[in-house]
Amino acid sequence: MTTSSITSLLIWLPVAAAIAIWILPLSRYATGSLAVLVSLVEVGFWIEQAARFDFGKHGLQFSQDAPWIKDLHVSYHVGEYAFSLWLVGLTVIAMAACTGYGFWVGRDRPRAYFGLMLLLTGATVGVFVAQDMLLFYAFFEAMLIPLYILIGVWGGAGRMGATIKLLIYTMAGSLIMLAAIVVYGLKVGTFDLVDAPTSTSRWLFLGFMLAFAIKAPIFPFHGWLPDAYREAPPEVTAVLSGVIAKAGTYGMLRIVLTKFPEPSSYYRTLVLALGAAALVYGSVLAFRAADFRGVVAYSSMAQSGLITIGLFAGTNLGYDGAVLQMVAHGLVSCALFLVAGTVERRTTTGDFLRLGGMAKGRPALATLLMTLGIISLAVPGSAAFAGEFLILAGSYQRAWWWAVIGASGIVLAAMYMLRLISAVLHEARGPSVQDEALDLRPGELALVVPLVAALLVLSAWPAGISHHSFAGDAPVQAVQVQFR
Amino acid sequence: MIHTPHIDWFSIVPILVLLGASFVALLSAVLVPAAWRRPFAVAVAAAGSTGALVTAVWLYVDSANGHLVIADAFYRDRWTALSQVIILAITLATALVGAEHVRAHESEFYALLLASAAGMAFFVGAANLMTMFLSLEWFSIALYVMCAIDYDVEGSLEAGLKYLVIGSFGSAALLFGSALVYGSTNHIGFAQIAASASSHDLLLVLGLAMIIAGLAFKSSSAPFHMWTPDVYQGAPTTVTAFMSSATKVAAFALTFRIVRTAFPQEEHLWSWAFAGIAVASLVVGNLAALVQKDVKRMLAYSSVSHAGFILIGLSAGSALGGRALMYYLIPYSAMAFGSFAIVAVRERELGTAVTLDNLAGFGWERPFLGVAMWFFMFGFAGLPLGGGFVGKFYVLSAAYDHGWTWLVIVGVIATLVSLYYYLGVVRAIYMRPSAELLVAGGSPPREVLLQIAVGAAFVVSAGSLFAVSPLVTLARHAASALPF
Amino acid sequence: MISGAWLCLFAPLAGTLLILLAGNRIPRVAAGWISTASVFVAFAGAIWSFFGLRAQSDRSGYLSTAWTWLQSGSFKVGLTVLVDPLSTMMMLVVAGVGGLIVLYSIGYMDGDDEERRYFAYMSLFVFSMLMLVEGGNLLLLLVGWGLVGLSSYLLIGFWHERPSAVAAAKKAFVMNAIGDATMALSFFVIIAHSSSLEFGTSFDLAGSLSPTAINLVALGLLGGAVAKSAQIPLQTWLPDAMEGPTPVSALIHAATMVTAGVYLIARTHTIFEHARTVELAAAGLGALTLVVAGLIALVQTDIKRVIAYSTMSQIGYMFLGVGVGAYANGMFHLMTHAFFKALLFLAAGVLIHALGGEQDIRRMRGIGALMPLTRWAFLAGALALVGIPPFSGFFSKDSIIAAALHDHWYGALLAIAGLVGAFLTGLYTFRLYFLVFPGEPSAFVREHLHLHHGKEGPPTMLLPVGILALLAVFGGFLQFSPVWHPLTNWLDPVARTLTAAEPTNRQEAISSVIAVALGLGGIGLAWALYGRGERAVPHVAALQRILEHKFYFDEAYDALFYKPAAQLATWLRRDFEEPVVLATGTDLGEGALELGEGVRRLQTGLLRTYVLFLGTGLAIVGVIFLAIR
Repeated sequence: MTTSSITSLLIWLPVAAAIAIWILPLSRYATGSLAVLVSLVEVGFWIEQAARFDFGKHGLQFSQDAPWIKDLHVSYHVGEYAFSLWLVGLTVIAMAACTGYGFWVGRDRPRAYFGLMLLLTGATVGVFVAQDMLLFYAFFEAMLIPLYILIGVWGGAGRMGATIKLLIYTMAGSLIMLAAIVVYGLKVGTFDLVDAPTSTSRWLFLGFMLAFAIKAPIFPFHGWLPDAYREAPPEVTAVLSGVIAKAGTYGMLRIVLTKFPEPSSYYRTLVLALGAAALVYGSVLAFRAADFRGVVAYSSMAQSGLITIGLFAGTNLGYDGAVLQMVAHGLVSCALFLVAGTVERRTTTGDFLRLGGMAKGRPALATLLMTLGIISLAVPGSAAFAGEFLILAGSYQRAWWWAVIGASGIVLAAMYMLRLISAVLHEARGPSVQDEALDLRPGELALVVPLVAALLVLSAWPAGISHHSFAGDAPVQAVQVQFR
Repeated sequence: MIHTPHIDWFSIVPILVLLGASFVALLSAVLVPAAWRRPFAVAVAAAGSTGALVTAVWLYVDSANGHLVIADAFYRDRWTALSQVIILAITLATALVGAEHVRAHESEFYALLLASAAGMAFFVGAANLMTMFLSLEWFSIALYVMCAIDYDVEGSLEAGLKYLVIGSFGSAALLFGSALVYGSTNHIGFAQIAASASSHDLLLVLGLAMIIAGLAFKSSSAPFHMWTPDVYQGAPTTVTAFMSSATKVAAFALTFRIVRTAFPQEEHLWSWAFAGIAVASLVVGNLAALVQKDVKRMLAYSSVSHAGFILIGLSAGSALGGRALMYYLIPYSAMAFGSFAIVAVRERELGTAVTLDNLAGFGWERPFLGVAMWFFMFGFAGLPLGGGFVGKFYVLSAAYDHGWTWLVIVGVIATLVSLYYYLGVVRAIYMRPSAELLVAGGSPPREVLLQIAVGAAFVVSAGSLFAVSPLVTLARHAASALPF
Repeated sequence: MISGAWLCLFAPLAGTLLILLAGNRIPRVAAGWISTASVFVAFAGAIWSFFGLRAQSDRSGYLSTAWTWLQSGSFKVGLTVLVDPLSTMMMLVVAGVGGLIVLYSIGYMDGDDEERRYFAYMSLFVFSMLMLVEGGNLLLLLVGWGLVGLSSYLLIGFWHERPSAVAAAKKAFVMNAIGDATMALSFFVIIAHSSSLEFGTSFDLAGSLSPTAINLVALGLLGGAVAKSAQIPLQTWLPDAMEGPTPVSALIHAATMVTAGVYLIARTHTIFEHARTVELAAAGLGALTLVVAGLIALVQTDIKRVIAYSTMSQIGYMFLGVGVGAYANGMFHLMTHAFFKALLFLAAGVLIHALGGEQDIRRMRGIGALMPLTRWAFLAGALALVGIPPFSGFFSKDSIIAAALHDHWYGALLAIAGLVGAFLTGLYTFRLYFLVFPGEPSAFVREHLHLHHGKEGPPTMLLPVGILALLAVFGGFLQFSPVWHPLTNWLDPVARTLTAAEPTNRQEAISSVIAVALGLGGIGLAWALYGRGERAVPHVAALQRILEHKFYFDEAYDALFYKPAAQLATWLRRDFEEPVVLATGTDLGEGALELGEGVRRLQTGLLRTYVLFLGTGLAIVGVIFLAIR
C-alpha cells in the first residue's frame, strides 16, 4: 500500500486557504475569487485522483497513516475506497458550486463566510476519507462548527432556533457514537477502521447507527431537518442535503455494516422498516409541503430512506445502487436548492401560494428546474432512476415487500415533484412574481449547469459509478472482508 | 541540638524566585513613584514568573526519577514540575492581562499573585499533610485578598469575604481530616501513611473523607462548589481567570497525588467518591449554567462541570487516568483563562457586567478576540476545535478502562447539555445584531499584552489537538512519578 | 441495417438538442423544420433497417450494443438496439406517421410564441418512442416507456398557463408512473431469478418460473400496458390529455404512444403465453374498454374527446387481438389505426385551426360546405374507423373479431363485445360526422371561420392530411387474412400467432359480414338521430348522466385514492410531524432548562446554605465510606 499525500491535500488545502482568508486583509472580491479558485483546485485534484484510481484493486488507495494519540492507538489515517472516491467527488463539486453561489450573491462579511465554507469543504472531505474512528468522529463533528455559524449568521429569520436544533440533535447522536467509539476502540485495542476487527455488540451497533440515522436523516430522527433546511442560506441547505446528509449513509456503509455484521443482520428488518417509513412518510409530507424548500427537504429525507434500504438490503444490487443514488441525489438536491435560492432571490419567497407562472419568458430557469425535477423524480433513463432501480431490485432480493413499498415511492415522487414544478413554473403568475424578475443570469447558469451536466453524463452512463464502487464490483463480499 | 536536614535548594528554586519577585513587587509600592509603579510591577511579575517557569521546565527535564527532598516534605518529580509549569504559565499570562486590567494597587496585586503562585507551586509538590495544609493556606489567603482587592467595586469585597468564610470551612475540613489520618496512622508523610494504613480503621476512613471534601472544595466540585459562582462573578475578572485555571490545576494535581500515594488501599473508597462527586458536578454545573445570563457566572458553572470531567479521569485512579487528568488540564486551563480574559475586555469596554445580551456583535467588533472566544467555547463543548475534544475522549477512555461504562454515558450526556450554553455565547457574539451600547472607555483600547496572552491560550488549546502525542508523553512521564 | 437503427434512434434526439442549444438564435419556424427533418431522417433510418432485415435469411433479430449502460456485478444492461420484424414495423409506423404529424405541426403551431419548445418536445417524444420500440432489453424498453410518458406530460401541459392543461399533464404522468412501477416490480422478479433483463434470457426464464411468479410478472407488465394504453381501469387520463395541441393528440394519444401497450404484449408474448390467464384477462379488459369507451363517446360534445374515446375503444380491439394471441392482427390494427386515427385528428385539427380553437361540435354544423377537402378526408377516416370495406379498418378490425371467435365460449363473448363495439363505432363516429359537416353553415361557423389565404389550411397541414387519407383508404390492402397475409408472415419469427387464434375462413366471413352490417346499422341510426342535427346528444336522462360522468371513474378514484391520501398527509403533518417529531427535541430542551432553574434556586447567595451543602456533602461521603469500607 503506497502512501500518498494527495488525500491529505484535499482535506487541508481548503483549511489552509480558510486561515489565509481570515488573516489576510483581502477585498471582498479577492476573498471570493480566492475561495472559488481553491474549491476549483479541489475539483482538479479530485479529477487527478479519479484518473489515477485503480478500480480493480482491493483495499485502501491514496492512503496515509501517522500516529496521533499513540498510547491509545489512535492515528491520522486517511485513504479512499472506490465509493469514498465518488463521495469525495460529490463533495468537492457541490462545494465548488455552493461557494460560487455565495460569491455570486455577494454574502456580506465575505472573509468570515468564505473561510467557513472552505473549512466545511475540508471537514466534509475528511469524513469521507478518514480511516480512523476518532479521526472520523473529529471530522464528523468539525462539519458542524462552520455549519452552525453559516446558518446562524447568514440564515433566515428563524435561524437561531434552527441552528440550536440542528446542533443539539446531531450532537446527541454523535456523542452517543463517541461513547461507542471509546468502548469499541479500547475493547479491540485500536481505533483504526482498517485494522479493527468486527464486533457483535448490539449496543455498539445502536450507538453508531443512531448517529447516522440522525444525520441522514431517516424516520423518526428528522426533527432538525425542516427548520434547518428552511432557515439556512440556500447554498448551505444545498450542502446539507446534498453532501452532509450523505455522511450519515456513508457511515452506515463504512462502519456499521462493515464492523457490525451480526447486529446489522439482527436489526436489519428494523432498519429497513425505518428506511421504508422515511421513504413513504417523507414523500407524503413532501406532497403536502407548502413551499419549495419544504418539498425538496422532505424528498431528501425520503431519498435517505431509500439509500438506507439499499444498504441494509445487503445485496450486491442494493449496495451498488445505494452508492450511485448517494451521488445522484447529492447532485440533484444540491442543484435544486441552488435553484430554489435563485427563485427566492427573485420573488423573496418560496411559498407556493405566492409563486407560479415563472416559466413564461424564463426559458433557462424553466428548463433547468424541469430537468432537475424530472431527474429527481427518477424518470426512467435518469441517473436517479438507475440508482433507485438497483436499490429496489436489490431490496426485492431481500424481501418482496420492500420493493413494493419502494415502488410506491416512485409514484409519490412523481406526485410531489410535479406539484413543485407546476407550482413554481406553471399556471397563473403568482403575486410575488414580478414581470421584471429576470431569467437565470450567466453567473447562476455557470453554477447550476455543471451540476446538471454531471447528472446528464451520469444518466448516460450510470454504470460508471454502479460498476466502479467496490473492488471487483462484489459489494457483499467486499463488506464481508471489510474492504481489505 | 536540632538536626537540620539537607536541603535540595534547586528543587524549590521556582518557588524562591516567585517569592523574591513578590517581595520586590511589594516594595515597589513604596519605593517606585506612582507613574512607574504599574510597568515596574508588571515587569517584575513577568520576569519572576518567566524565571520560575524556566526553572520549572528545567526541573522537569532534570527530575526523571522523582524523589523526596527537604526532610521528605516535598516531592521533586515530574508530576510536581509539570503542574508547576502549567501554573506558572498561567501566572505569566495573568501578569500580562493584569497590566491593563488591574484597576489599582498594582504592586499589592502582583505581590499577591506571585505569592499565591508560589504557594501553588509548593502545594503540588507537598509530600506530607503538614506541607499540604500550609501551602494550601498560603495560596488561599493570597487569593482571598486578591478577590477583594477592588474593595470599592460592588461585589468584590463580598466575593472576598464569602471565599474567606467558606474557605475556612474547607480548610477546617482538610485540617481535621489530616488530624484524623495522623491519629490513625501516626504518620504525616504520604508514603508512610500508605505503608501503615488499614482501610478498616474508622478514623482513617473519616479522615480520607474530610480530606477529599477539603480538596473538592478547592477544585470547586459539587456539592462543595457553592462559593464558586458568587466568587468568580464578584472577583476582578483577572483574578477569576487566574483562579479558574491555576487553582484547579493545583487542587487536582495534589488530589491525585495524595490519593495515589497515601491511600492506595482505599482506592475502592475514593474512586467511588470521586465518581459520585464527578456526577454531581456534571449535573449541577451544566444544569445551572443553562439558565445563566451573566457570562462570568455561566463560565463559573462551566468550570464546575469541567471539574466533573476531570474527576471522571481521576476516579479511574489508573496511570491512564493520571495522563488524562494532566492532559485535560492543559487545554482546559488555557481555554478557561482565555475566555475570562476576553470577558474582561468586554467588561472594561462597557463598564458593566457582561451578559449574553450585551455581548451581541462582539465577534464582529473585535475579530481576533471573537474568533478566540468562538474557539474556546467550542473547545469547552468538546467539539474538535481544540484539545478539549481529546481531553474529553481521554477521560472517558480512562473511565471505560476502569470498567465504568456508565460514567462514559454520563459524560457524553453532560457534554450534550453543555453544548446549549456554550453555543449560546457564540450565538451572542456573532448572530445577534450588535445593539447600540454606550461604550464606557470610548473606543476600546488596543490591549496588546492581553491579546498576546489570549493568543497564547488560543495556540495552546488549538495546538493541544494536533500535538497530542508529545503532550501525552509529558503527562505519562509525570504520572509515572506516582506509584501505581 | 443496424446503423439504420442507430440513425433512426438518435436523429430525433439530435434534433431536440439542436433546437434547445440554438435557442433564440434561430427563427421559430426553423425549429419546426429541424424537428421535421430529424424525424424524417429517422424514418429513412427505419426504411434502411427494414430493407436490411428483409435481405437477411434469418429474421429472428439482431442486437447491437453501444455501451454498458447499467451494471452491478453480474447484472448487466447495455444500451442496445434490437432490429427484428416487430421493431422495424414499429419504427416505420412511429417515424413515418410521426414525420407527417410534425410536418403538420409547422402549419398548426405557426404563430405560437413557444414553437421552439414545442418542436424540441416533439423530437424528444419521437426519440423516446423509438427507444421504446428499439430497446434491446426490458430495461431499455422501460426507459423508453418512461421517457414517452415524460414527453407526453410535457406536451399535454404545453400551454402551461392553463390550469386544466397542467392538471391533465400531471394526471397522465402519475397514472403512467403507476404503470412504470408495476413494470419495474415485474422486472425485479425476473432479475431475482436470472439477474438479467435481456429479452432472450427473460423469455427462456418464463418457462421455468413458478406459476405464481410468472403470473406476477405478466400482471406487472399488463399493469404498465394498461396504464400506457388507457385501458380500464387506468383509462381516465386519456380524455383529459386532449388539453394538448391537436397534433400532439394525433401523434401521442392516437397513433403511437397509447398503442405501446399493444406492442409490449406482442413483444413479451412469451411471458404472457406462460401466464395465459393474464393474457386472456388483457383481452377481456380490451373488450370491456372498447364497449365502455364506445358508449361514452356517444355523449361527448368536444370533437377531440369523441375521437379520444374512439381511440380508447380501438386500442381495446388491439388488446383483444393480442390478448387472444392474434399478435399479427393486433399489430395490423395498430398500424391501420395509426393511419386513420391520425387522419381524423389532423382533419379535426384543420377545423379547430380554422375556427380559432373552437372544439364544440354543436357549433360547427355545416362546416363541410366551406371545407370540402377536410370533409372528404374526415369521411375517409370515419369509414376506415367504422370498418367499412374497402377502407383499412375493415381488414384489420374484423380479423381481430374473427380471431377471438376461435377460442370457444370466452372467445365468443369477446367477439360479441367486438361486434357491439363495431355498432357503437358506427354510431358515435357518424354522429360526429353528421353533426359537424352536412347542412347549412351555422351562424357561428360563418362568423369565426377564417381560411388560410382562401385555402382550408397551409400546405404543411394539408399535405400530411392528404397522405394519411390515402393510407387510411388503401393501407388495409396490406393484408387480407383469408387471402394473403404478408404482415403475419413478416412478424412470424418474433410473434407467431397462436393456433388458438387462427380463425377458419368461415369464421372470418361470418364475423366480417356481421361486423360490417352492424357498422352500417350504426351509421344508419346516427343518420336517423342526428342527420337533421336537431340535437347533439341522445335524451335518455339516467343513461346520459352516467355516460357524461364517464361511469364515475374519476369520482371513484378521487374518493378512493386521492382524498384519503391527502387526508393522511394532512393528518400526519398536523397530528404527528409537528406535535411529536418536531416538538420532542424542543420539549426535552425546555425540560432541561426548567431543571436548571431549579438548581439555580439552590444558589441562594447565603453563606449558611453553602456551609450546609458543604457539610451535607461531607457527611454523605463520610457515611458512604463507613458503609462500604
